[in-house]
Amino acid sequence: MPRRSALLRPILQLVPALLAAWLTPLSAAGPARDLDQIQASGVLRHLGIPYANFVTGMGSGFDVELVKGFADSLGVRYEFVDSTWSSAFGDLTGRNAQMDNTGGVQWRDEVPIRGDILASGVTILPWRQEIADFSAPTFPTGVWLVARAETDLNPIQPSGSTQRDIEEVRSALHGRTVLAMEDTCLDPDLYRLRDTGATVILPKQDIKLNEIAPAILNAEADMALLDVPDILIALEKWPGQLKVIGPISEHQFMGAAFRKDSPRLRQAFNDYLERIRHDGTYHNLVKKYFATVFPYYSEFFQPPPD
Amino acid sequence: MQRSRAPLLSRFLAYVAAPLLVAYLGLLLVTTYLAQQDLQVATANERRLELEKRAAALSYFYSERRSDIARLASDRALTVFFSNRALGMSMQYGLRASLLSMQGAVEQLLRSETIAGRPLYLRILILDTQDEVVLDVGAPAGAPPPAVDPVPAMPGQVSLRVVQELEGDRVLLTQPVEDRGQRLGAVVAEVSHAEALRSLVQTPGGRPCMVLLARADGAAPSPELGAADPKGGQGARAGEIQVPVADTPFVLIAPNGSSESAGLLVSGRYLGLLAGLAVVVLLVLVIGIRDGSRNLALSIRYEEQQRQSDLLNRQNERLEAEVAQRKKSEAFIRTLVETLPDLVWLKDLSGVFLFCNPQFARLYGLDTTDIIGKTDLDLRGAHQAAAFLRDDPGAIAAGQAGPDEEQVTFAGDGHQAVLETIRSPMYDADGHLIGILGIARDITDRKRAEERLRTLSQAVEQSPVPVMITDPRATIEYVNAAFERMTGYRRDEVLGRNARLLKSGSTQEAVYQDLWGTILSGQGWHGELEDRRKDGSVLCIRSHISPVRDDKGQISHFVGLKEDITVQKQQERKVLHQAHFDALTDLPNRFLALDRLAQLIREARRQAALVAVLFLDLDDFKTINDTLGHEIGDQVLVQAAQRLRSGVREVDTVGRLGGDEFIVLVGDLRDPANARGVAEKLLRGFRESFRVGQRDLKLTASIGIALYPADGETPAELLRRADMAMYRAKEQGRNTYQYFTEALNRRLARRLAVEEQLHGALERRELSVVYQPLMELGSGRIVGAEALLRWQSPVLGTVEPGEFIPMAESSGLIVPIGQHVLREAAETVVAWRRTTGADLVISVNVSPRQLSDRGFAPDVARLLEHARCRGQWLRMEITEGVLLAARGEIDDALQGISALGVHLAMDDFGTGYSSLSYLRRHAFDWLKIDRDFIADLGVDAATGELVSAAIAMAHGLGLHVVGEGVENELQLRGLAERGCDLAQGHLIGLPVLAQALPTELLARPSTDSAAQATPTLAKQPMDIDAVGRPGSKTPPTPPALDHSRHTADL
Repeated sequence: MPRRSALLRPILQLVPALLAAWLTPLSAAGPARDLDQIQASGVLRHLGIPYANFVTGMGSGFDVELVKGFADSLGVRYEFVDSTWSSAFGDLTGRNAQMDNTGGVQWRDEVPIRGDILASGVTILPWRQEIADFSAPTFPTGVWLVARAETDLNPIQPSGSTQRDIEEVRSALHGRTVLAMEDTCLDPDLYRLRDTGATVILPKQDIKLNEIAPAILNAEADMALLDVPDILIALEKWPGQLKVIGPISEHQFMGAAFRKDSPRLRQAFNDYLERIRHDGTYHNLVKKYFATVFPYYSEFFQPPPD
Repeated sequence: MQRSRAPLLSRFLAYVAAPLLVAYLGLLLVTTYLAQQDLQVATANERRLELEKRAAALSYFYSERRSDIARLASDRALTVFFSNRALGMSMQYGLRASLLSMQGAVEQLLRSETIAGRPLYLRILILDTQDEVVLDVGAPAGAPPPAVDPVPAMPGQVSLRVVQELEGDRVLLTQPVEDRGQRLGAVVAEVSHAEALRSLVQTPGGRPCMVLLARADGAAPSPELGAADPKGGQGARAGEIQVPVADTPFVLIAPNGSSESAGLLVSGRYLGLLAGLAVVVLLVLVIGIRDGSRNLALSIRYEEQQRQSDLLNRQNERLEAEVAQRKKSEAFIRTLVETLPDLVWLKDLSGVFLFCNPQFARLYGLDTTDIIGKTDLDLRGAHQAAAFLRDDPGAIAAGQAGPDEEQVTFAGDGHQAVLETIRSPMYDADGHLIGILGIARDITDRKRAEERLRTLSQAVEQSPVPVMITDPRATIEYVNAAFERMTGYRRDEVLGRNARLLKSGSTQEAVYQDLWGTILSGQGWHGELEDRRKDGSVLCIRSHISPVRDDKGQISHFVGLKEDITVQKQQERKVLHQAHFDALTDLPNRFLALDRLAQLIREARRQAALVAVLFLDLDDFKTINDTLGHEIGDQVLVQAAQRLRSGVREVDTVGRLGGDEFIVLVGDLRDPANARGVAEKLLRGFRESFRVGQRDLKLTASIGIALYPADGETPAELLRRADMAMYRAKEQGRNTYQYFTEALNRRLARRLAVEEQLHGALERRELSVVYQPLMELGSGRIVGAEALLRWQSPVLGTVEPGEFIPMAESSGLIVPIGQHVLREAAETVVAWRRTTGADLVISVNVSPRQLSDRGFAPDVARLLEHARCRGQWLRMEITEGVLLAARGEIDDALQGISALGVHLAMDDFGTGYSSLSYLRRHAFDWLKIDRDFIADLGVDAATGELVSAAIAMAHGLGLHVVGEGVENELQLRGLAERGCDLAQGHLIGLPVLAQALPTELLARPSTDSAAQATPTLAKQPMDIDAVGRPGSKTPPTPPALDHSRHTADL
């Protein structure tokens, strides 16, 4: 049996997928709900996608604890619902959507609603705001361009104006290959990346955001778009191997997303967020999961004055 | 007695005791002097020993500082900062985070190290390679950066330098920051030197210093020590002891203590005094003796001190070495234990935690310091603690316990984990049991993986889908039970063998090349293969093979999922065969034959060759089917197919188009005449009788030949033209072949045009009904007319009935057209009878197709009623051919018509079978002798006899007789002489429109004989044109006779 175990171990990833083609049933749908219905049902369903330290995929993470705390404050049971970036908003609203090439929303097929709150380091973007309502910002972010250390492109020197810095970075992209990821905050259309003359590479498979940096180190592209929290963790993880060229986006924020017909749930979350920012819970959460990021954005993380 | 004794005693004292006493005192004095010298040496040694201890402490203090700075210099935050800075990154975009992280590490060091409650480090700086200050923590506001040492000579070593400033010395420690041998910068720390000296160098109690610190380089000693004057230089001065502080630029200086003991020293000057004081000495003799004893004790004490001093020195050296070694070991072990991902703890025998690493403390959400000193009862629930307390003695008794697995929840982040714990007793160097050491490892991931593995193993093993796993060289490493069932191989028969074991040889090599090319490139492959079971039978499988990669991304295995589709493939082949082959003859069907024809055309186009299409139809096969039954017919078809097949080359195609129609395709022809040989050979094949059951049947065939590219370039075109040629062969007498010609083509074009125009001709009112008078031969009176159909097409002009009636028959248009004629005839006869008052009857030709319609008789009834026409006023003429079919619906129709009173006439009598039985079986009233007989009447005597016989026979059966086609007087007279009842023909009247027939002609009663009537009648046609317009002066064109007139005179 040890031989068989050793033999079967590598196929763990593969066989279920193959068998699934024969056997997998589909999951059931759930109706849209606001605060009253959630409290009546006794469960809050948290949609998340494993991403950086927001959702680790191991039952922990910044957003996991945030929503767990929120569920506790509502007196309901917390339930995690695994999703993907391409289906997350569909799982929340009941209809899949994606950004079209004008920056607007392209609605797609209807799907079952699987969760009540989407919190997974989701950047607040205009097209997403057309689909869902967002909470008050939960985390600061932004998108920078990172490259392998040996790339011949040098980091820019800050000019004092983010917009000028962005232009300088964009002007250096012509003829370069840049790794980006559709349907996420790294969507190349969000930043009109193709207008720069860069060759945009999209991952062949549905990789996670925190696999972007390894992909760069693995020479799958010269450089990549990456969000600031991920970059700061990556810089610490692989010192001297990655370099930040400069900003691609203005300052951004992350937030939790809610269905537009759940205004009371969203308000309850905002109230909860304000409470934990004052009592230090939020402060500790950030330090726990983003020790590196904390000092960088310390101003944002400080509790607001009363 | 007492007086005498006193002088003796005095003398004794004066002469004996006094010298002895003096000698004794002298000896005592010398001994004391020597002992005092020894004491001074011992004191100095003791002072040195004390000084060395303090020097060791100071050295250790600085070695710890070195460790601090070295640890800081190797902190990951510094490495990260300098590495990222070296890439040119800006503070704003990325570097500031590293800097802040680095600052955190520095501040942590500043906070954590204190001495006497005050910070040990005054200031820590991080410099880059250009000695530019990157970070300066702890400096007073505005303080300039200190001058730092150049790079230490030995990489990785901390340099320690004293900087003399006005307020005193400052000690700077400098450590380079390096990464992979490359210098990135430096850490400089300023130590609170004064505090260190106070704590380590001063004597306890803060007594004014008897120890001085000096710089080995001769610089001023530290003023913190207060009283001493600056002294320096190499080597100790008289009365001083100097001890260097190892690995520092310091020496410790102290007085050697000789002055303290020098005060008792006895000089030569005092010896006389002492002698003079002998009496005194004598008096204090006892005391002197006692002093001697003290001196002796002092000497012994010195010896002992000397020995102790040596021992202490040795112990001190050993101790220092041990301390250094132990510190190194402890530092190493502490680093090891603290960085271990495992949980490590040590409890004493009473269960009190003596040690734990941070990972263990995290279990409780506490710091290590919070754990130490507590017991399980303090940290865990009573139940769990009891279990631990129960297990620990077991571990001691057994020498080791575990590994045990336990589910725990980390108090810090709340995550649950499975720990694998091993406990073992711990002994000190003397072998005494001192506690229990525990090591626990988080095996959550492993457990999950094992669980998942177990589940998946079972799923794969029990899956109904056959699974095979091989190594990259296709050596089979695993098969599941479904695989065994599918292939018949037992697991042990295939493991270790190459997967080619399953190859049947039936799968094309290109498929395997595609398979390997795909999976070796890392892609999954789907496809169908033909494998072989253990019993040798071939197995069709649908296979999905995917590569599996190891951690390094290399392909380590291939996983194959298989599905047995043998039955499905067999069914598919069967369905495919049925779709392409004729079930009866197993020849290619129409679809496949035309497909092959298309292939032949493509090849011929490339090679500029010819293709012959032979359309073959069995002659009179329908008769066989109708008379002998379909089973016999089928057997004939099977034999015919075999003969055709044997009559051509293997490469040629023989197909069955349907019914008794076959197609033969001959490709790669160079001469059109080659097709002739093929056709003749095929026809020869039919010369032999067909043996079916007990019967020998003769059968012939007609063949039409069309050639690519001359006769068409598409399969459909060639087939159609070969078909036309076949019909031409039929027309030419059957059992022959015919090439397609342009004349045939023109006929076809004409036929298509006529068919096209015929549709809608009725609605466009292009069809008209004309009437040809019928004359009663006995009276010469017109007693009626035959309704005939005419078509004047604006596109085609006049189309003869002989051409369009058969087409109307085949297309079914004859039914509405026939209805139209019947309706017209009924209305006409009613009008005539009303206007003339004569007893007139109109004959109408009825086609077999009309009679086959079960609604025909009812339709006629409604039609008669609508026209207010009696049945007796119509006569329906039916050809013999209609009766040959003898179908029930026709019999029913005839009976229905008879029941309406409509007369029935047998048309064209004499041209067919002329079976009298038909006349007897059906209610015929009239017999119409065919025009061919009438034409010869008066010319051929035999014909005259036949006509006479027919008339006599009809009369004998009670039928009336009509002679048609009367064109001259001779014929008219001949009929009259033979007793024929009625006559019809151009001599009597041409067909004209109803309104064009002179009413007076119809109304005129006549009692004359036929001969008398004839001249009158003969004049009439001259007044009527071909379409019945009265008064036309143009003589009408007689209607052309047609071979198919029997079906054309509606």
